[in-house]
Amino acid sequence: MSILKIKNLFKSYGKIEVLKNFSLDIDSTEFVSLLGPSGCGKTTVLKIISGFISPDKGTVFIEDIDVSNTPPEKRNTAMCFQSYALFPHLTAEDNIKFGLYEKKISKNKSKDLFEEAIEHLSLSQELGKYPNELSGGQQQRVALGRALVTRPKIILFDEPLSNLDAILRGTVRNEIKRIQSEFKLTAIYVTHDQSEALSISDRVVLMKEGEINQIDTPEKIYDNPISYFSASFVGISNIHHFKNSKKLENNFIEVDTNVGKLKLLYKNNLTDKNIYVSWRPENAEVGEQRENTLFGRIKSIAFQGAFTEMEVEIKNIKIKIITQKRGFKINEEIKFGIKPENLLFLEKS
Amino acid sequence: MIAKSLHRILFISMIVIGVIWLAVPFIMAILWSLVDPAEPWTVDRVTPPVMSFYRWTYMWESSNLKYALFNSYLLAPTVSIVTLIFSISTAYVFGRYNFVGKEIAKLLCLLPLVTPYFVLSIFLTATIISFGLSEYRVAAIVLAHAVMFLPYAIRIMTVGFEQVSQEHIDAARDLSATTFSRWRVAYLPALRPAFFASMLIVFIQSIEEFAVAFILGSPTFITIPTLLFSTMGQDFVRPNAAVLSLILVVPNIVLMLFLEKLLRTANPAMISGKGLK
Amino acid sequence: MFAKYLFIILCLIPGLGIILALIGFVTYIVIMQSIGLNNLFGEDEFTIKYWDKLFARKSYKRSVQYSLYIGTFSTIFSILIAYPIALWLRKPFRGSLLISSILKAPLLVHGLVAAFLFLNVIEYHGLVNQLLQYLNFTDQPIRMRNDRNAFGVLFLQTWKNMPFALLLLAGALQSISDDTLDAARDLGASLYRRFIDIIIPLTISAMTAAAIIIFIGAFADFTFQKLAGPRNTFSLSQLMVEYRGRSKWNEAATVGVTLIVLSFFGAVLVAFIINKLFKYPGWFSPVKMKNIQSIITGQK
Repeated sequence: MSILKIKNLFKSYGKIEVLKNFSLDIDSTEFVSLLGPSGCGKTTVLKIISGFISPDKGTVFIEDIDVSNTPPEKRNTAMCFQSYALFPHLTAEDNIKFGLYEKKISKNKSKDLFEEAIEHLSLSQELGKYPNELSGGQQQRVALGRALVTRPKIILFDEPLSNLDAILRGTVRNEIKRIQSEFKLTAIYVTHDQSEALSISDRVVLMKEGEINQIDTPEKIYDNPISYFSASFVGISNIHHFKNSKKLENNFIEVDTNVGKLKLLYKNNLTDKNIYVSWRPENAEVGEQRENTLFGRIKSIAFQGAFTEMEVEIKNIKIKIITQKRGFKINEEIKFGIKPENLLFLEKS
Repeated sequence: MIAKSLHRILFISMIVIGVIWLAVPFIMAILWSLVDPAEPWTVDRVTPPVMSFYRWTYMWESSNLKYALFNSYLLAPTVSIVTLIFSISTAYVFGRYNFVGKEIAKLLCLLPLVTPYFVLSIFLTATIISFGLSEYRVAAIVLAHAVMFLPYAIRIMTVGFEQVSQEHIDAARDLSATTFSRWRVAYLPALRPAFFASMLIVFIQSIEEFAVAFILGSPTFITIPTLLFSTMGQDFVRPNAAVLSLILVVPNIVLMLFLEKLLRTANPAMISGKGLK
Repeated sequence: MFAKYLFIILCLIPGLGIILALIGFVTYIVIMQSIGLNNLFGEDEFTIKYWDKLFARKSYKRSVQYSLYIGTFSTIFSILIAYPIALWLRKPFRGSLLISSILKAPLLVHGLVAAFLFLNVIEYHGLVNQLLQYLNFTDQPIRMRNDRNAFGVLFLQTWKNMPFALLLLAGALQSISDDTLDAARDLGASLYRRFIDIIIPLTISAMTAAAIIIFIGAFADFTFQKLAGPRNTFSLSQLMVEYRGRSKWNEAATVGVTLIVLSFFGAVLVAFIINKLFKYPGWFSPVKMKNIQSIITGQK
């Protein structure tokens, strides 16, 4: 059941077109990420959903009601800001209760909602403190509590983890996901960090230059990127131009690339749009012979603990491979194979 | 938040009000200062019938204007320097040390701001007289001004000292600099805008100060404000007062604009907003 | 440790020390002279007769009332006018800098000059009267200078002080981030509620600082009163200067003590009122804190 329907949004600032015909449907209790580089329009979408920006064209429906002209204070959405935006003159407790007062929720109901939020977020120790007395992680939890305590229809996150250090980011990220599922909230999460998006979303909306590039589950976006952009933005890919495609039997296609001939598994017919071949570094099977076997020279080695990342030169082209094997040396020759099903065709953008 | 048309109406009315409450009084003052005594400016004429610089030359030659100008413009720099010297060590500990009672000490430095100036001036006079130091009234004026404006100097210099980067000091030390060199290379560059801002503000305040100059200075030590006040009293000759007003205002406007430019390039937090509380 | 504190104290002497010494000493002299001690001329004799005489004088009571009246209303007008303007100028727009400069210009103008310009304009033969007669609003010029209700003084005080309040308030308002206001809106706060619950509480310290300084300045005013004030009432400072002019130092001292004490208590009262009215949840906010709090603590 679609809780949010966005249709044909357009937004420009002067000559710059920030959103081009953006449409999206989101189901109830879904966790959707808007992922993309800076300037791709993801925060603009968020602000249009919450009501702070009006689109030039297009409509927003929440639970089948047209809210395109409804001001933010009347929409049933709540936002978690990048800067947390906690009210500096109010304690954590007053911050959280703010929405309950403003929305005039009854005393008894407020009490229940408040206590539930405090319990789930473990905030009872911080209630009497002011924002400047709280750590970054605590502030984030208060901001989260403040947003969800009124049980909004949709909760919006604007890059909530960008001000936290690496370790805290992981903890708070998991907490956000846990809260979302415990409270059965519908969440829209804006981020430029693809690992964040992949780890907590039900669906990822990959955006580029104001348009949707690909929408899919995290697994599918990772395993089946459709464009150069999605292959390179989500995870790392080795991407090659190809020419001279030759159809072989059993749905195999052979192509000429700058690292040699490669065989892919592809049922459909190739079109003009397919101009790249890509594969993930972790799909290189070092030391193995496969339908695609490549030989190269190791140029750099980065041991990462759980795996080793290497840069290998093949015919003057540098590619990346990731392996759990060890014991490599720079300038050593290396052989690895790639299974045909791990190679993909990509569209241009 | 506000509709565009309301915005425009407000904007235009502000400009109009601004013109009325600034331009009109000043134009009046300028016109009055140019009135020639040959023909008085009566109610029925829009502008003075005869205009000349008579009043200006008259004030310059025969009144106490020269004397007042000399006094004011000698007093002010003296006060600036004295105040700066008094403020440095206090500002230094406020800016670079933490200690018990620091907040209270900082608050106490604001005491002159909440002391009624006339009480201060009258009873300082009493003190001087009772100690038999009446000849030293000018020194007393300098001291009074310095104390009255110390809160500003301390505040500005404190911010200046806070801005000195500890890393610069450490780097200098690390490179075997003497204490003097350390001051020259680490402290001075950060403090220079604070020095200027402080001296300028105290200078402007001292030039404009009336209560102390009036009570302590009269009748022998005249400054421009006290001269202006006396011309507005019983012997109110409007054109004379107009000349004095303009002499008091114009240099101040120039100085204040200069100060604003200086502060904008240095540190906007230094004076307004965060300053007084 | 001891050496550190000794050093700090030594450093504080030229600055803070001189302030405390001078102001402390003058305060001491004022208090002493008001009770007949430390006299300049004549014998020292502890007495409260100067105070008795002062309280008995009607003119003293009138001066106290008058000065409080000027102090209070100058403060209220200055802040009431400055606040909406500061709100309007919070987000820069085309021309906002110009307006801001025009409105802050009185800060550059000396009080005496302001008094002169003002008197010029409202003088019996001045511009306003000329205009009124020209437009046939009146036959005879109106006496506006030295009017009984001290509107001249109040106008001058507001003209001079409003820009100062504007400066402090504008600074505080501009430091409120847009995110904070957006968050409030997002949580359901209407324009009015955002103003009462977020904006006003965050400007309390600027308002308090401005109010205290304006109040004390207007309360203890001498020059505007002398030049443009009503003839039949003295402000407290004016009264004090009068006594001193007649070499009545003890009487002047009693008025001086009055000024100091009432300035101090006035400042404290101003701070208290502003905090009570506007600190979250303010007097105008329907937020009821206590009920929910007691319910929660009951649960714990």
